[in-house]
Amino acid sequence: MEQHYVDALKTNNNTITKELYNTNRTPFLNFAKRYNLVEADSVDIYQEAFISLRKHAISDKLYEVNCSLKTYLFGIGKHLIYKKLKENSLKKDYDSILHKINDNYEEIQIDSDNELTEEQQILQYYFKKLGKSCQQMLTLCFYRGLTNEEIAELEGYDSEAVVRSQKSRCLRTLKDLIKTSNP
Amino acid sequence: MNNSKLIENYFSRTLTKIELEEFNSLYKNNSEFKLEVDFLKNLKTVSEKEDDSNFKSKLKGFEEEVSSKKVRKNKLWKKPLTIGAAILLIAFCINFLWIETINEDQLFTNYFEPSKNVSTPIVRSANEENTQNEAFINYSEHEYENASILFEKAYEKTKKSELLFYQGNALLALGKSKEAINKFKQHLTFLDSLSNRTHWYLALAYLKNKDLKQTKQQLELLLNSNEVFKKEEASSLLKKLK
Repeated sequence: MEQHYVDALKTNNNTITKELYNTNRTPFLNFAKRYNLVEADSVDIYQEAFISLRKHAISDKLYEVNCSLKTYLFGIGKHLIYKKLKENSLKKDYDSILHKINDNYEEIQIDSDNELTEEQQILQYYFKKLGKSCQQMLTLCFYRGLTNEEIAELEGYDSEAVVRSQKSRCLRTLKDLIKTSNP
Repeated sequence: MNNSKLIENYFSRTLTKIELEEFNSLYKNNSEFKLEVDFLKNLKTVSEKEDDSNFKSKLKGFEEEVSSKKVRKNKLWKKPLTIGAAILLIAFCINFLWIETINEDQLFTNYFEPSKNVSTPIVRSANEENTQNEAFINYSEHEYENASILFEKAYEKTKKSELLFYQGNALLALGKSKEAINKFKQHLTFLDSLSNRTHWYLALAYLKNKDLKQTKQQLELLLNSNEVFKKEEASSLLKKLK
């Protein structure tokens, strides 16, 4: 798997991510045409597949994958196409022959998004009240799982200590916001 | 290893096997530890949702760019093919110049992203309503028009040279490349922790202004400095301009 693309997805490198998106877009839309989907649906599916690809990059799943990034992306896309076709089949007769199209892409299953619990919804409400820089800091620490050193390098902070203190300040602010509103 | 370091390494997936056992034991037996970890796990889920949603917006932006390119292509395709040679020549010239403009704008769009606030943490409380703080809040919320005015005021009050850097970024985000150039140039008359980074943004401001000579010069200044920030991008942009 192309490491520089995986790193770009993990570190949010806008230029390389855009290049990866644009390079695979037309081939994917052509691939999706075989399933008789309207282009707007294919674009939605491509975007959803791309988001899943990034999630897999962030969770380090891609390190275990041997195929190319394009094959992997198309594999996720294929899974989402099947999902869409099944949804469509509820509205009209489903042509199962569509599943028998031969191509080089192995379907890749992805986890469906779980709804937030009530506790998480409350936390989400206060998280959104934080400044963008705090949101970004906490996202990098907890979702993206970057170390303080990695954050300092990525975001251009002077040192790991600055990240540590900023992170602790952001967490304190978040907890205070929750406490003040729910005494 | 203390508990907070243990938690930090748990989320960065860097715990050793022994540390993970220690973590699990604490999680099972220490209610305060468990409470903190559960809170942070929820925070992880919430930040993931937000991050996905931000990324989705970014993809939407990529898609809009693709669509607008398509429209431009269609317009070109629909140009009449049967007009006389002289008109064709003029059309070709206009078209050629036009495509050149698009390329510079396209490169600017591909490479420009306003700098993150790496200087001053924002404080959101009623007691902290100073101009600089307000400027950074507006800046972080992409309210660049307000941010620019507030940075100007904050700079007049504090004379902190780094504020010029952020004002330049806000102006550039608004597409005011000439004003941004002046602001970045003013910033370069000072020496602070962001001075070298200004070369990158000044290069992009020149690019937006279609001054390729100055763009290259600024990129070379950045590449020859000891600054690591945007070095890879600077080098790739310079290659595209040569």
